Amino acid sequence: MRKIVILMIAGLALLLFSCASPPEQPEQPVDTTVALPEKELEEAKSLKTRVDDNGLSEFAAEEYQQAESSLQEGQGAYGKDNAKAKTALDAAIASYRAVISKAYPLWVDRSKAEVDTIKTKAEQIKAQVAMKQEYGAAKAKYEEAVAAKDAGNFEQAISLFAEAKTLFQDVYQKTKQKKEAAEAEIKSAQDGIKEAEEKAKAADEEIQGGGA
Amino acid sequence: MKKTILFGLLILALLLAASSAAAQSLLDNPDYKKAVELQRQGEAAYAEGDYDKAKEYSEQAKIYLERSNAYVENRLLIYRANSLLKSAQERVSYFKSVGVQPDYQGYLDQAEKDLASARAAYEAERYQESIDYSKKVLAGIAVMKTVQAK
Repeated sequence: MRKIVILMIAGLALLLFSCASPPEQPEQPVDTTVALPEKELEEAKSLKTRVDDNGLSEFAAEEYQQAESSLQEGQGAYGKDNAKAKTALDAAIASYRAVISKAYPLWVDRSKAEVDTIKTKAEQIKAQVAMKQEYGAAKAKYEEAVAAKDAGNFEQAISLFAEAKTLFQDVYQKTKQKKEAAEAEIKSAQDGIKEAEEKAKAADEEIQGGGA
Repeated sequence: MKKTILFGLLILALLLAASSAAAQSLLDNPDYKKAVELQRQGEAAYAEGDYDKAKEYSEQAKIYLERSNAYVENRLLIYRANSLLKSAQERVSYFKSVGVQPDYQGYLDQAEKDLASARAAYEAERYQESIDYSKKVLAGIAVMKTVQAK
């Protein structure tokens, strides 16, 4: 009898053991061997802000896409697979830097071209004579910007070109106003001369014709 | 003979001077000339881009044109006043010389008074007033003439 009970318990235990689900696999352990790439994340974000705030992406679209994708990947792996995150963030940093180094010279060129356009317009209406002093100040700023560009100081050049553009726009507008005012006055005096001549001619005819 | 030639030359010179004066235009006055010169300077300044100067020159030109116009108007007024005064004087002299019927002596007296006023106004350079008096004289004389013709 005792043997039967033991056999039954053993059989039940065997049955229970055979029906149980396999044991759960343990969670993948956090990679603690590589430190969190905090500096890389911070730098990548900072570069992104610089690029976005200055609208540089349009000058290097491909590099910008790569940078964005790498940053996303780095942020996804951050704290989970730090080695992978660091690699992705390093790539993002490199791509953002590529955007910056490609965009600034192009941006400077565009800035210069914009100033050249308004400068030419101002010169066409002789702003250099009409507003000598103001034109001189704008031109000095322009030359300063060109020097910064030539020296490779692109950010400074862009800022100086923006100032020169504002100055030239002001010079152009004011010169245009002066030109129009002079034209109106000259036209008015021309009409006055014509009118005076007609009056005098009529008077001459009356006097020489002897009529009263 | 020599005297005759000299006299002839003198007459010729006078005739030339008279014809030149008659052909002279009222535009031949310093204000008009100055205005034209200023306008020329204004246009030159404009071409150079000195718009402030250009405007200034043309503004000045207009001031001189106003003066020129005033001169022309004044010369014309003097001419009209003078012509009418002469006509009025001739008509009054004529009626005085031929005499008028006693009934119309009052018209002649009034015409003489108006003529004196016209002359005084002319001498005082009040030309419009002189013109008005001369016209009054001529209107009065016109009535007298009609009456006398009857």
